Amino acid sequence: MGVLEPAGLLLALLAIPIILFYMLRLRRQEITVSSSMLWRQVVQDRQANAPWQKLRRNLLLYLQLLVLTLLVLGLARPFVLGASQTAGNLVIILDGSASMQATDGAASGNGQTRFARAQAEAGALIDGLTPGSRLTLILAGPVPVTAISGGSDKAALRATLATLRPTAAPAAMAAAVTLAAAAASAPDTTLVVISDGAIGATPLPEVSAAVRYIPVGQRGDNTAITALALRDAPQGPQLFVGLANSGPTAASGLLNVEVDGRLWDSRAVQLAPGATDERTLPDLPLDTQLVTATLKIADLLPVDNTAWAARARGAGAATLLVSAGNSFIEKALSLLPQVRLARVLPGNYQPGPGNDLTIFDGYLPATLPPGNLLLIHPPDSPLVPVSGTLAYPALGPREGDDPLLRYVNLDGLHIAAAARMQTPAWARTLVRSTGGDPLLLAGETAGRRVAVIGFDLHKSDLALQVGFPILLANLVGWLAPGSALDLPPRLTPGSALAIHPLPEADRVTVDIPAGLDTPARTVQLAAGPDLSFSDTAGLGLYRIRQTAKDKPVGPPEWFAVNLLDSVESTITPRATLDLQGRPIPGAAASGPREIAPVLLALALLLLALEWWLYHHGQAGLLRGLRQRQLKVKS
Amino acid sequence: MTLMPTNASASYTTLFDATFLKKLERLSIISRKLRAGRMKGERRSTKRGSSVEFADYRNYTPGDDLRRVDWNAYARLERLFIKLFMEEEDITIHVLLDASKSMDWGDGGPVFGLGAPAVPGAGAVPAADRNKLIYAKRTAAALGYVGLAGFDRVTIAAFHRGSISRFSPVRGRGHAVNLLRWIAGLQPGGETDLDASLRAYAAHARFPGVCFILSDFFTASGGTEGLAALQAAGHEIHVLHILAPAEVHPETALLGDLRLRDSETGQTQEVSIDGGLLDLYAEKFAAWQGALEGYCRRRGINYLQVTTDTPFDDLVLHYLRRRGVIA
Repeated sequence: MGVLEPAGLLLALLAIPIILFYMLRLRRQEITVSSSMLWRQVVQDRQANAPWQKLRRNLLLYLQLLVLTLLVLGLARPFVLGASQTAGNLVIILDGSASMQATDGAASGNGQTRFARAQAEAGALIDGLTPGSRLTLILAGPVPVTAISGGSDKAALRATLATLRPTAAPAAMAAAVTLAAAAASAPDTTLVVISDGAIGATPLPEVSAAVRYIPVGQRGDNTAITALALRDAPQGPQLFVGLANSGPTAASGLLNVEVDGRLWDSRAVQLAPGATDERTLPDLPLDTQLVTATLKIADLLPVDNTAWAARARGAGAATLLVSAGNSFIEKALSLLPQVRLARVLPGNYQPGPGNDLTIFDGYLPATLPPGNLLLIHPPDSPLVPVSGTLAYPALGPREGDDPLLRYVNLDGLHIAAAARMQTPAWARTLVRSTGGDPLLLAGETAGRRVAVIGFDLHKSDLALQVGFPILLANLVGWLAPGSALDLPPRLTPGSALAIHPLPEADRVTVDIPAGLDTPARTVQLAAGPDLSFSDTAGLGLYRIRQTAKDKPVGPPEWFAVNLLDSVESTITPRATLDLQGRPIPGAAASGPREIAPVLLALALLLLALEWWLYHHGQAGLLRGLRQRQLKVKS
Repeated sequence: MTLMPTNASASYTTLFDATFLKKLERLSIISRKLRAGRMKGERRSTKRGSSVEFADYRNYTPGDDLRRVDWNAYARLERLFIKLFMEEEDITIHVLLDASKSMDWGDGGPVFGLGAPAVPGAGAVPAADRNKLIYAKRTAAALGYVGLAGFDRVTIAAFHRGSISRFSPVRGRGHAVNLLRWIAGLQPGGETDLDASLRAYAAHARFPGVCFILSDFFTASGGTEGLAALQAAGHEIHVLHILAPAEVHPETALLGDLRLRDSETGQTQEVSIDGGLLDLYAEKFAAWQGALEGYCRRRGINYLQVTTDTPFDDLVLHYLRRRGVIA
């Protein structure tokens, strides 16, 4: 029990003028009696016994004071202490993951989403804040966002809460809890996690605060597309679709596949409870660019029933190998599908455009060609200064986890001689010797990517290493991506991707599909050598167009942002949440039950009674009571 | 027959009708003591006289009327005895009427601004007849008429405006009209010190007799001194303590925040009447009334409290007879 607006209680001081008015200006009806002799004696006795005689039982006064009390209490907004009553520092983590879009927020089945329900629970917590309490609200999306930091103005808190929207991506709950821990520095902190529990198995960090878990969601009926991949097979493009039914009941429906906007395939699917299904659809049209797969099954979470795929551009990167002869390189490059390789001897080389990647093996022309470069054992040049030779350099410890060295094991590498290079300002050292001299460099300079292998492959056993083709694939993949897009294997909502526009492009336009409650829109970016694009909150197909002086440059490219997350698609609400190293049982927060409406209604009733008594009934009522009293006595 | 109208309370009211008068003629006022009267009457006197009722013998003394000698006794005893017979004389009926302002109250009119009285049985008495003065005047008229009809001497005195108005002693039914007219014409007024008035009356009344005091006894001194003075003067006293129902049960008329104005003194008293105050009033009233009644009982005074919601016929024809006041 408490009050939400304690300042309203100050209005109780109005009782003073009411009582004073009664004491000072009591309106009395004058009545002539035969003799006031006995009444004078009675009043003298009463006054002797009761100093506050003037405040004797007066029904109207009492009613008015009661009405005032009820009104004051009503304005102070009293409430019955509910589970949501919180004092001190309150930190709320609001799960904003895709599963919160499930439409089983309300038990009544009115289509309220879990997120809306979570907002209502958070709203109840805001209402239940005692004066002086502070609230921090973290929206746990793919990147946790602190929506409110230490706020106490309930109206502002509610307004901010209403603006929050769920994302279409998995929630980084661990990061959100870490963020909450930073806000939980005060000793009286309560951390409340409002979630459906679909946060994966990642253990959550501990927080020095009391923790509560408010579960939302009622059921787990959901089917989802958990995988969608478009790949080139020898017979043509083929589509791989993974389906899952995470719900407790069997589901059946249609799987529709649209290719480039046209319905290409539709087939019935039946999924047992908890079952997964994988379908491979071969023989897609050879010119397939875009695929949309839609699972036509009514479930609670529609957002994971559609997935998109875009086919990578088919044209390979034009690659020129300038070498006196290096079969290792040639063999390795021939294995890379995106490489269209041409060879030329250093003596015949003429720098010119037309190649995406030029590989100089033990040679470097005075004039560098446009495009990206891979230098192997380069001579001294302004690009890569070389000052002598390193004999038998041993590999130093590996630093970091550069993507270019992913899956590359160089532990068994031996080098007879290497160029003693100085690391240019534009480059980062991928591999260095124990003496600190760089052996493998990569970086970007003057709008191009450059990688440098500092030794002759023939004077090392690199080419014999298992990691060599992988290293070369990584380097070529980076130097000749074949596309303006540098896509990670799976692009989830909110994740960033790099865009490498064509050198001649001066503007990049990204067409963003319609999101949950945002319309389709277009973003224009000024072209640069290395653009980063992270406005990928919505699911769907994104189109990238490059223009130079308002004229299109190159064909448009597409990429798809998909949920494809079995954790998010498993929407069965969890009754407990593992926090602080132990399962925290969920406790639904019911809002503070305000009793002001009841009090105000009662006040209105009493006011009506007081009005009636004033005009009609006080004397009659008292007389009736008196007679009943006399009857009892007799 | 309609007798004299009264303009008490500025309205003419019928005191009582001919039928009631007939009933009154059959009544007489009882005097518990034998008194020496002034004129021949119908009551046994302390004197010996010439009625037919034998009273006593006494020895003959020279000069006695020989017609009264009991010759039969002389024949048996050879002594002369004179037969004495009861003398029948009148007695004086004093009706003392308190006509102060406090008596002119209780008619259910403007003072009952809070609604009709709710005393059980009050409906039997018209509201106008519940005025204490009218009630007292009717009672006084009835007693006076009974006295006149019984060949008693009747005198009426009214205490008002600090003085005593007298209706000189009259005897015989022929004065009834004048007596009733005088009573009906009595105007209430002023403040009355009942004790002083009773003492003054006791000092000047030449023939003590049966004395009826009709008053509400709302006087600061209590009225007992006046009663004592009357008793000392030899009066046989009947106190008719006339009260309005609202004075006995004020909750029937008085509740809430009121300013009570004393009808005699004009003084005001602010009261907020609730259950507690009513209880306190009931205690005070019981003590005040009990004190008066106790005093009367100790002094052999016949005390009768009457509330004006008692039907007047019942009072005269039943209650007064039951209490041995009239027969």
